[in-house]
Amino acid sequence: MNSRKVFAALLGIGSLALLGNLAYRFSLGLEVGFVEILFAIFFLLVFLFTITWGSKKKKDGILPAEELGKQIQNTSYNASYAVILGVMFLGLVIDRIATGTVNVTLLIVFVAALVIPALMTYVIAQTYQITPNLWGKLANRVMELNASVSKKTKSRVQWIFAIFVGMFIISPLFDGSRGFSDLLTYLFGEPASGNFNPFPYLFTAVIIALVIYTARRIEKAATEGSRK
Amino acid sequence: MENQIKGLREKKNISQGKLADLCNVSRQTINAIENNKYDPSLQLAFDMAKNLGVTVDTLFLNGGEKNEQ
Repeated sequence: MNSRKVFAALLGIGSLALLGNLAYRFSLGLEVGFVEILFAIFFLLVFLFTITWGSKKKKDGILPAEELGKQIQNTSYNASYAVILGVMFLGLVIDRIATGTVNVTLLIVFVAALVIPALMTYVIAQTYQITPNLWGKLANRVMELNASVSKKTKSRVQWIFAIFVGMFIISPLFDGSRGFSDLLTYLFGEPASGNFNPFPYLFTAVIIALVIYTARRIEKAATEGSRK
Repeated sequence: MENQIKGLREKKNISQGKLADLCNVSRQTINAIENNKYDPSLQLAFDMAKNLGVTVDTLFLNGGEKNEQ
């Protein structure tokens, strides 16, 4: 059994455990934290990514960066869009039945999901016109700017964005949310007022660094196929 | 799209994996093209033709005999 399969198996077991724990606590009517749900989904996503794609080094599967990989992603995104629309509509209907009123936020999101692709198609079609209109010219300019930015710069911007999103997700930990907060309390004791204890923060920083390192390894493996 | 990649590859004694390495794609991509599950991009078509020592016409049109209207 190679290391990738072991890694995938561990991720699968971890995802199952996290999701099972969430389902169990939800069924008992216990509090389920936002961060815990995100962690569980993150594990599940990494697991699915690992079992879907291969590695260029080991030559054991399709690479996401090669053309067949891109074709697979295009097809799956098109299919997923239809599924997500169906799920959103179902959510609206269930919410209407359960509460007797329409969930306005979900309705706005559903309408945006219907309108935005049509608008995007119009704008992109304009870029292929012989004489594009203002939207087509703007879109062309955006695409030129995007092409002029190097891959390295884009990758750095993505990582800075990911770190900020991660900090936003992790920050509720210090507001007393369950799960990770309980773990910190178990490891380092109750937070004492007055004296500053750096160890919970250091521990959290190490966890964030591990998550980023894992994600970078996965990204490196995914982009191996695009290098000649 | 029907093609003669498998026949030409076997004639040259090149495996799917070897051709995949030469064209910088996965073996699964070459397999999908050979089994008509996937049509390659122009770039990949030209890469395969170059690595097999033939033209794109020979790979996909069988000397111009197929795909006539």
